[in-house]
Amino acid sequence: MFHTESFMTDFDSSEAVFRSDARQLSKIMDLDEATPGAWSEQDLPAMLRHQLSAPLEFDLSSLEVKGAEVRARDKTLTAAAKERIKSFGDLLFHPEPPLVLLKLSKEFFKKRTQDCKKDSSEWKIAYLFYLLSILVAGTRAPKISALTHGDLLKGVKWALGQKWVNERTRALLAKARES
Amino acid sequence: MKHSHPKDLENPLWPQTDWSGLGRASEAVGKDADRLNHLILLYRVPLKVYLVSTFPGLSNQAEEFLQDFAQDKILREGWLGKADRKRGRLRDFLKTSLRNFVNDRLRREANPPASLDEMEFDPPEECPGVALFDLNWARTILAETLARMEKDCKTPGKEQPNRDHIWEIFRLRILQPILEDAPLAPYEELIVRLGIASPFAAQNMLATAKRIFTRHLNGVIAEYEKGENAVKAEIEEIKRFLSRLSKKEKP
Repeated sequence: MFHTESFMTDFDSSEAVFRSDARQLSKIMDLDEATPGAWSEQDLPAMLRHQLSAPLEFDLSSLEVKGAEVRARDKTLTAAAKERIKSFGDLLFHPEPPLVLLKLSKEFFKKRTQDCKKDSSEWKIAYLFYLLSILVAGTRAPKISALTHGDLLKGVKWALGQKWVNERTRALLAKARES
Repeated sequence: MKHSHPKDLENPLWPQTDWSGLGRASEAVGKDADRLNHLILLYRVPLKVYLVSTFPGLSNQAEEFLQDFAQDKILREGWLGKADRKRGRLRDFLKTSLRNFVNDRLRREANPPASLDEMEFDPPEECPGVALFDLNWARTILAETLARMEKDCKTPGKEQPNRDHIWEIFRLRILQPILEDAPLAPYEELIVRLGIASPFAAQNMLATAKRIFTRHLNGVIAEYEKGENAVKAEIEEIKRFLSRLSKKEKP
């Protein structure tokens, strides 16, 4: 449901500040304390849908790689797009996802888990996609990750325990656990 | 402690302190009327808030007192030169000067109230007038910071054509929920409205917004506090003050 009003409002920050009390002003002065994570638990289902539909090119282009690796990455993304693998959902639910893309995806989300505050909503999304990037590689997983089978099983257990993970993704996790 | 918007007092903001401007104004006494008029106008409203809160009985005469204060102090040769940043914060200098000025004036009047003697010392920070002054100071700092941030974000550069979205996401996810107790704008609405490509793009936008806010906050304070350490110290002091006050406000 769209709360159009919140987008249409004529918000006057000065008026709002001068109407505010010390508690509210204190939160604004201390933003990192007041808003440690960008998003809340309630946002997680929408964030998962958003990440699945997010263009691979957008996120993976932000990976810090150099020289020949840049060209290789761009070539991989172009080739994937021709195969209609354009989003993370396309990649993860593909019957034969390209290993090179899964590796890039794993690297991207691994970096994100390191940058985000642990257990924040952003971290949870990053960790889920990090696991999925490895899991959907199936028997090829050891080629892109040093995680042991036991590590991966722990990760799957964590992911299946998250209420915000949708059915389609649960099925993918369950399938990966069995293979 | 909620108060009416100072627009009631004709100007929504405290002025930023321009020490170099003060120095020039000080030198310009008797020579540059425009600059001094500007200075007096800048400080009239915040001083009025303080005067009325410290001396509620003088609310009807506040304008008159302020005009006399401007004439007898600000326009007096050498007085502004005392506003030396090495000797303390300008806001403290102004409020102390005004308070002393009013006390002196009242003392000179016939039959001064006995309680005036008690006003000789600096009132503690807990005094309602002082707290109100500092609260309005914090409000001014934040209002100015947010105004500059909004203007900054709404001036898109070539490399950031959608820079205004940074302000929008900040407004909808942080400002309005905190300042107006507005519900958080739902994630899905935001990404559709603002055309955000991925959760991490959204996260980066909010992180960028916080950085822009911090940069402008530092910039506003740097106009009256010299040096990185002094700016940090002022920010910490404002935070401590607001934190103390908000604990008192708890029901």
